[in-house]
Amino acid sequence: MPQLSYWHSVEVSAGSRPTLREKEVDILVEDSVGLYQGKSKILKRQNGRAYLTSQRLIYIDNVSPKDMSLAVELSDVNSVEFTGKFLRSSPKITIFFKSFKPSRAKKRTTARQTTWICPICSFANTTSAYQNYQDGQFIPACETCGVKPDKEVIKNAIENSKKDVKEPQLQEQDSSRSKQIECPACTFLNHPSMRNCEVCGTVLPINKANESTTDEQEIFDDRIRIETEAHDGLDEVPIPFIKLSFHKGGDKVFFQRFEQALEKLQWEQLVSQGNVNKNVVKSQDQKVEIERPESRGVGLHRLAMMEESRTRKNEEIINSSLDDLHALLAKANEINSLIESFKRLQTGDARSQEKIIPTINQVTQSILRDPSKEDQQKLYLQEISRQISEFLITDKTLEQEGGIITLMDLYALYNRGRVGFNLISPDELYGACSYFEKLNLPLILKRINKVLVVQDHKFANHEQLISDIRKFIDIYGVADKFQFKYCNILRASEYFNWSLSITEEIFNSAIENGLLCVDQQISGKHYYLNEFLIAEEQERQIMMSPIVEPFLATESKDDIIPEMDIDALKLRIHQQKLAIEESTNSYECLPTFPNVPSQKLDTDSGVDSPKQATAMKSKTLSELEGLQF
Amino acid sequence: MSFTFPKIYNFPPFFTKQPNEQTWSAQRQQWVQLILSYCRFHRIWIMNDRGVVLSQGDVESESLEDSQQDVDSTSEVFHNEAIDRQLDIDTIRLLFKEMLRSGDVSPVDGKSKSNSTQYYVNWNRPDDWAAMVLEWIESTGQAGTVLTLYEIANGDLSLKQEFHGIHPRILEMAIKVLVKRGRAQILRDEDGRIGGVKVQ
Repeated sequence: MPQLSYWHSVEVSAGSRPTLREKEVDILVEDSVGLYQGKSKILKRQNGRAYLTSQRLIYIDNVSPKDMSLAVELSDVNSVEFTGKFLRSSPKITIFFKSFKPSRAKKRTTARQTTWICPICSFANTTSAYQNYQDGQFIPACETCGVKPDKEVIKNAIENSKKDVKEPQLQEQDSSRSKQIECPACTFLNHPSMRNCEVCGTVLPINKANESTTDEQEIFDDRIRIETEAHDGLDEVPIPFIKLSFHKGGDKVFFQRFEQALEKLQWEQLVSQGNVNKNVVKSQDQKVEIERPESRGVGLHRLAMMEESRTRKNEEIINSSLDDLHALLAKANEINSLIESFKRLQTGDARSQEKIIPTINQVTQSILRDPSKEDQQKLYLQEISRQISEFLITDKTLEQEGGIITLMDLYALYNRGRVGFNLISPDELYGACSYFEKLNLPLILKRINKVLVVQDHKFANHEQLISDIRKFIDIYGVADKFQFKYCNILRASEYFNWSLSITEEIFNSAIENGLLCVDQQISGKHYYLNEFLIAEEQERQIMMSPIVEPFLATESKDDIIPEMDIDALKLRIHQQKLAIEESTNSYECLPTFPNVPSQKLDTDSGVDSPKQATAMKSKTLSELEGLQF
Repeated sequence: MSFTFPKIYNFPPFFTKQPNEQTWSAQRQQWVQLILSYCRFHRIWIMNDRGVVLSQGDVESESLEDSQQDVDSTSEVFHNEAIDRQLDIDTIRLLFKEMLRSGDVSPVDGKSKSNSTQYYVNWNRPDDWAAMVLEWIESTGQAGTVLTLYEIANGDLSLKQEFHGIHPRILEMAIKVLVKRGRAQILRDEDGRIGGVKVQ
C-alpha cells in the first residue's frame, strides 16, 4: 500500500499534547476522531484527538500517543469537503491535497523565504526573498522591535539564501548527507520530506539533490507506518485525499474552522509572497443576498416566508454582535503579545531572573466548539490537565519545587505562566488535576492531611516519602547529647527542596503514622524517630519470650484457685514483674528486695493444681529466705 | 546508689505529649513505668498532680502536713536538667488521671474523687502490699496475734521487708484488703482509729 507523503510525524509532549511551533496556535480540538486514507480506515488510528492549529492538522492517538500520532501541513491541503452523517456512518471531513508538482514548482520560483536577523534586537524575521526592496517603503519592519533595517541587511540575507539553494547542488555527490536538509536558521538536519524545520518551523530550502534522485511519491516520513484496513483506492483518483471521521459530533464546527484556517493560511502566503498591494483588505465573500420575494405570496406560504426572514434578521444581529466580541478578543490577544514583547526588555529586573516561569501556549475555551456542553467542558479540562503536566514536568517546574507542590502554589504559578488574562479558575484547576490519573499523566493529586498537593509520580507512595524522611534523619539528623537524632522542618525543607508548608504536612502525616515523634519547646519543634514505639516493640518481644508464657497460662486458671492462694500468686506476679523490669531496663528498681532469678521462676511456673501451687509457693519462699537472710 | 533513669528519659520528645494517639499511649505507659519505679526507688508515697513529692522515705508518724516540704518544686523525674526538658503540668495531670484509672495511684482525700489533687503512688498495689504482709505474718508465725500498725510498719521484725516504713495510710488500705477477704480483723481504739490488727 503506498503511503502518502503528506503524513508527518509529530512531536508529542509529556502530557500527550502536540508540541507546537513558534508561531503556531491552537484553533480547535475535537475528541473521538478516526483517520482514513483514501477510502479505507487506517488501522490503529481510529480513536484520537484532532487538533486544528494555524499551520497543521494534528492527530493525537488516545491509546498510544507517542507512536501513532501524525500531522498534515495545512499548506499541503487544497480543499476540504464535508459529508454529513448517513445511517451508521459518522460525519466525515474529506481533505484533498495539492498534487505535488505544481506546488513545488511554484515554491521554487516565488515562495522562497529569507530569514534576516534584526540588527537591533537580533530576532530572526522571515520574509519573501523575491520581494522588491528597491522601494524604501517595502522594507519590512522587524516583527519584534518594529524597526526597519538597512536595505543592505535584507539584500545580504537574500543573497545568502540564494547561496543556500545552490549549496546542496555542490554536495550532490555526498548522497548520504544530502538526504537530510539542514535548516538555514538553526542548522537542524531535517528529514528530506520536511518542508518546515521540525525544530524552529523555518521554511527549509529545497534540496535539489533529493529532488533529482528520488521520485516525489516515495519521499515520506519513514517514522510513520500507515496500515489501512482495505485498499484505499487512491490509485484511481487524480488527487489524493484523506478523511477525518467524527464519532461524537463536532464535525460541522471543525469543518467551518478548518475552512477558515485554510483561507487564512492562503491569504498569509499571498501576503508574504508580496502579491498583495499595501493596505489591501481581503474582500469578504459576500453571499449574494437573494432578493426576498416580500411582496409576493399569500396565506401560509407568506407567513412561513415572514418567519424565515425574521429568523434571518435575528441571525444577522447575533452574528454582527459576536463579530464585535471576536474583534475585542483579537485586540486582547494583540495586547497580550505586546505585553510579551515588553517582557523581554525587562531583563534588568532582578526578580524576573530569579525564576523564569515558562510561558504557556495557552489552552483556552476558544478551542472548544461549544463551551456550554458538559462533554466539551470535560475535554477542556483534560486539555488543561495535559498542559499542567507539560508545565510541571517538561518545563521542570515541579523539579524546582522538589517534586511536590501545593495546589495553591500551582494555581499561582500556572496562572502566572498564562500571563495576564485567560486565567483559569480554582475550580477548573481542581477539575483538571483530577484527570491526572485518567489520562495516565505522571502526576498525582492527593491530600496530605488537609492540604491538596500535586505530586510527581515518582513519589507516588506516601510511605516512600516518610521512609525518605526516616533515612534523612538517620543520616543527616543532628545528634543530641544522648545520640538521639533529630531534625527540624527548615532543614528538611532545604534538603528535599519542598516548600515549608508541604514539609510540615508530610511531617505531620509521618507523626500520624507513628514513625516520628515531636519534641516541642521554645526554640521550635524537633522531629525524632519514634523511640516510644520502638521500645514498646522490644518490650512486646520480651513479653513473648518463653519465660513468661507458661506463667501467663497459670494466671488464666485463676478462677479455679481458691482465694487464699491468690495472694501467693500475686506476690509471684509482682516478683516476676521485677525480674522482667530488671532484664529489660537494667535499672535499679528495688535494692532491698532480692530478685528471683528468672530460671527459677520458669520451673516454678508449671503450676497445675491448687495444692501443688501452695507447695511450690512455700518452696519458693523458703528459697527466698535462704537467699535473703 | 542513685536511680538509673531509663534510656527514654533522655529522649527529648519524651517530654512533649505526642499528638499521635498510639504513640502517646506508648509514651504514657513508659511514663507510668518510670514514675512507679522512680517512686519505688525513692520510696515516695504521695505526690500531687503537679508532680510534687509530698511524702517520702520511712514514715513514722501519720501527719501529712509535716512532710509537706518544697511544695513548688516538681520532682526531678519530670524535669531532666541534662537535656533541659520538663514535662508540663497539664501532661503530668493527664498522667495522674490515667494512673488513677488504671489503679496505679489512689486519691488521698476520699475514695473515688476525680478532682483529687493528691495521690498515693501505688508502686505496689494495695493487694500486693496485703499479700506481702500476709506472707510475712505467716512466715514469722504471728498469725492470730494482735499487731499494731506501727509494729507492722516499723517493728524490728519487719526491718528487712519492703513494707518497712510504709506510709500508714497505705498500710491501712492494704489491711482493709485483708479485712475484705476475711483474713484480718481491725481493732479500733476509742477515737475510732485503728489500734491493732489481728491476722488469721
